[in-house]
Amino acid sequence: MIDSKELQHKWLTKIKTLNSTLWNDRAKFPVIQRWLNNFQGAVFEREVEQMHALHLLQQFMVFGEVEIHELLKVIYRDLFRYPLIQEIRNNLGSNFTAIEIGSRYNNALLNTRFLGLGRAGESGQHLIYTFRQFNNLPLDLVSDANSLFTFSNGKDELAAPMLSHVVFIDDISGSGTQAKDRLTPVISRIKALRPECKIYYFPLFATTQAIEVLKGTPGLDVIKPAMELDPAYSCYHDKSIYFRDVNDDGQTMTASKAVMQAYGESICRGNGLGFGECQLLLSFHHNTPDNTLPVFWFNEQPAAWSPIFPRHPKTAINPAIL
Amino acid sequence: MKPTVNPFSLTKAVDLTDEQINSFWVDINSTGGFAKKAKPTSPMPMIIMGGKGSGKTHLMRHYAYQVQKLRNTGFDLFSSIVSEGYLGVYIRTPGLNASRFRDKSQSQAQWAALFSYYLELWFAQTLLSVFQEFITNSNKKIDNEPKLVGDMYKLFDKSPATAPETLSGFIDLLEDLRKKLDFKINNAAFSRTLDVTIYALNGKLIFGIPKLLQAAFPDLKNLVFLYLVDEYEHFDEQAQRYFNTLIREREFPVGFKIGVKLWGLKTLKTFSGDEGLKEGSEFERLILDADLRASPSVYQQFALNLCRTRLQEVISKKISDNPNDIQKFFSDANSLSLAETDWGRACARFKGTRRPGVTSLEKKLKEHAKRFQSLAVESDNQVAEIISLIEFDEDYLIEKTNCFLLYRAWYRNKPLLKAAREIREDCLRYVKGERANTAHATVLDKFEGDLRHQFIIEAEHKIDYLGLESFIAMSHGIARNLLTILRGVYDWSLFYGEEPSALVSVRAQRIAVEEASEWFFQDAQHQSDGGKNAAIATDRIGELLQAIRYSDKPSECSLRSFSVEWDGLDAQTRDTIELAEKLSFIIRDSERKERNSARPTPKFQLNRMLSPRYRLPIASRGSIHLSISEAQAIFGNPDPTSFKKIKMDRLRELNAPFSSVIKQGGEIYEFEF
Repeated sequence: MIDSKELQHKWLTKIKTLNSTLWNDRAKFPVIQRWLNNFQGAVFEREVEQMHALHLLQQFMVFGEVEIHELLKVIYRDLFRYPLIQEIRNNLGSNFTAIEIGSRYNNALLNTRFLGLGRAGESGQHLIYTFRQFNNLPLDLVSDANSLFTFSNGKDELAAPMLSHVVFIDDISGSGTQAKDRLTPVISRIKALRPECKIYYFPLFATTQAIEVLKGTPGLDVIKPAMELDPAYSCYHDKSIYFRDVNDDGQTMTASKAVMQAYGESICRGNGLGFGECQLLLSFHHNTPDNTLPVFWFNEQPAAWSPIFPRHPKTAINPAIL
Repeated sequence: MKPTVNPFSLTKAVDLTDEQINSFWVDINSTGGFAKKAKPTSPMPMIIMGGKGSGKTHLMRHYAYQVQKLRNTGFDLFSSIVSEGYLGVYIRTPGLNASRFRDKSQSQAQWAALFSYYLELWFAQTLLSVFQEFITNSNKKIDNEPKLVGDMYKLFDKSPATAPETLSGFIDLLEDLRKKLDFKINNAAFSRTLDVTIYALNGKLIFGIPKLLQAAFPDLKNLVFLYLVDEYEHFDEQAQRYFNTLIREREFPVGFKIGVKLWGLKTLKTFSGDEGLKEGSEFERLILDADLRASPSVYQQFALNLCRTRLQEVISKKISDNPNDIQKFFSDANSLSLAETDWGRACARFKGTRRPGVTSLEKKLKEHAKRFQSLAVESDNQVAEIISLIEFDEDYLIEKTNCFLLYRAWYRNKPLLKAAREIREDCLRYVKGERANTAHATVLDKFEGDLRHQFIIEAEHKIDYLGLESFIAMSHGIARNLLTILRGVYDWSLFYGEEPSALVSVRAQRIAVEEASEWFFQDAQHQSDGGKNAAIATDRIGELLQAIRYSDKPSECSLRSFSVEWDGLDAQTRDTIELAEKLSFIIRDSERKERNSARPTPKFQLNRMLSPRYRLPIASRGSIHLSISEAQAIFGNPDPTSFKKIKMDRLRELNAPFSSVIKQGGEIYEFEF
């Protein structure tokens, strides 16, 4: 049972350090207190619920600007550039020089387009700008899905006829379904025009479950995240890393789940433990994914919920206000 | 959101830039300031000692040329340095890595000569680099550079290379010789040889070059070339002995200031006929923190200025010299309502319920008192009557005093019901304001703080150590202690969302003080066996003082001090006590002779930084005297068994049913305290 003052102090001290070092001062005590006040005894006593909330908060991961930039470098360098160079070397057999490899890589790069997944204003598009900057890529290599194509003589054509690689960048794939839905039509158009073009999907993070779902996307050649979130990152999974500090045959985990699910359902019906029931505990510098437990991010009106890492919702246009 | 900067985040002078050393510098407010104590213009060598964080490095870097230059910005540099009377050459000994100069199949004599030669090159190079920068920044030219450089070159016993003609060339030559030496020393473990030619020894360059520089610049005829050698503890005994020899044989215009931790001075011996350096005639000693502790008002003012200087970095409004202006940033007991204080919060907990002190007294009476005839407690009804006389709902402090007085009567083997009636009478007189000659007035005069703290702890609350004045007192003459408390206070205050320019809350202070106390205990530790023993012993003495203070009938008020009978102690006990003192766990209060005896009994205080860790007061009045066996059990024996025994023996005297009563009752009576 988590209830001691000492534990509360220990966690608060850890949170203070996290806040001033990794969380970029986003969760000072008044914000934490407002957030804890959401838990008002609907499941257990208020103090017990708040201790469960603190227990999760002191393990919450925030990926700040610097970390995201580094991961974007990892995507380009480790997931795209190095494997492509390796492929070029393999194709050249034993007769290769650094110049030859460099030249072939540059040719391949000229016929590569990097795209943010999703619509303008969504996180994939937000990341692609930073991705280009931090990897020193020419502006011409960055595109959006529509600009890949031209329409002439009444038919679809590729804007770059020799297109060889298309790389989709995204921040996270939690369940895999949304990414699959978005990728399928674009991939199908590309492959119809140039079947040999290789298609990549590189999210910063993806759950193991999402990777499995995405593997079934027709025409998608490579799916690889910079960081794979295996089931241990799922808050209430048997292998969860978040309850290793309590050794009570899962009682704390069960109680914590009951609290988070009850409040989660009250604010985010049908997705009380995060979209796709991913049960994640992470946030990014630019937004919090909806796969994270909603108690941390839910920020929509009219619910009177004070989030700690608010999510900027994808609000649909309300015709009434037009 | 950009995190707000904590002005106290940097607490170690070694981490500060020259600009920060200059801007954070605070002098003491006594005639002549620090300069009068540190005497930078005096050619008499000085060993500057002090506990960890007492300001040795900041002081020495303040006298270094790089900071001299900064504080004289806007003035003519050359005449400013001449008027300051010294040119500071700051050297940190860890850069030398003195541990390289041993073993590797070479004799000790070889290493000694090599170390001495290395020092010549290193010091001379550092000095000349500083001097060259000084001359360049002063827009001065050397009239006859080739002659000066030629004269310096002649200081070598033998030509090491082609003679340079410029000062830069000479500096390069020194660096080149030093690098070659580095290479040979570093590879000696593999080559098993040390084929080195020594070109200069015994201060030839260290003392010779300043003389030549002075001759080349007659305006510098009174300038002291001040070597500021910091972190001397990194020199092993042999290295210190060599350096001590240099100190003894120093020649004008060279001065030395040696910075060393209290535990770091390994020897005062020299190689000059094996004699030791003589304090007073061959060197002076300044113990920074002891010196500041000896003048509490000077330290208080210094600490306030230290805090003001840092706070002013983040607060736009000018903070005046008035102590209130700076103290008002921190809530303290005076700025709180009674209900917000530790006492008020503890009292609130017991509204309408019996206090633990009374419950515990009742339990002890029921369990033990009836067994002793002299106490005249025969039934539970009598116990109930005693308790009804002791309980005092109107004022919990008076009630605590009542309990204390009843325990005292018990200790004195008095009939307790009668004693309780007298206590009640006294209590009512005291409350009416007829305080003269009441036992309550006498007890509260001495023990009020202790009884309040007992009550707060019984209420499972924490004792407050609030306000800047408390922090300054807690820092016990060591500036870094104060900065560390303030860093924590400020960190928590920012986390709690408080405005940097507003009042720092009580809750931020409460947590930070507790953390700082724990930090001090960990940070002061030394990773040697002796150091570990000193930490264990400190923990024991803290535990013992705490147990006595929170006993039924504490023997002393405001207890944080102890004395020991020095003469009979074994060597290990003495060593551990001395090391605990050098690590600043305990602070020597005074040396006194025991009454009717010529035996020395040094008195020590537990460092005030440890007060929160052991719930002890900041002020110190009473003191316990440790017998030889007690001192040896605490400081001399790593095994905890004998410590547990002496602690239990002490507590039997202070907690009911009191061993003295048990003895008088003639019963064999085992009681777990």
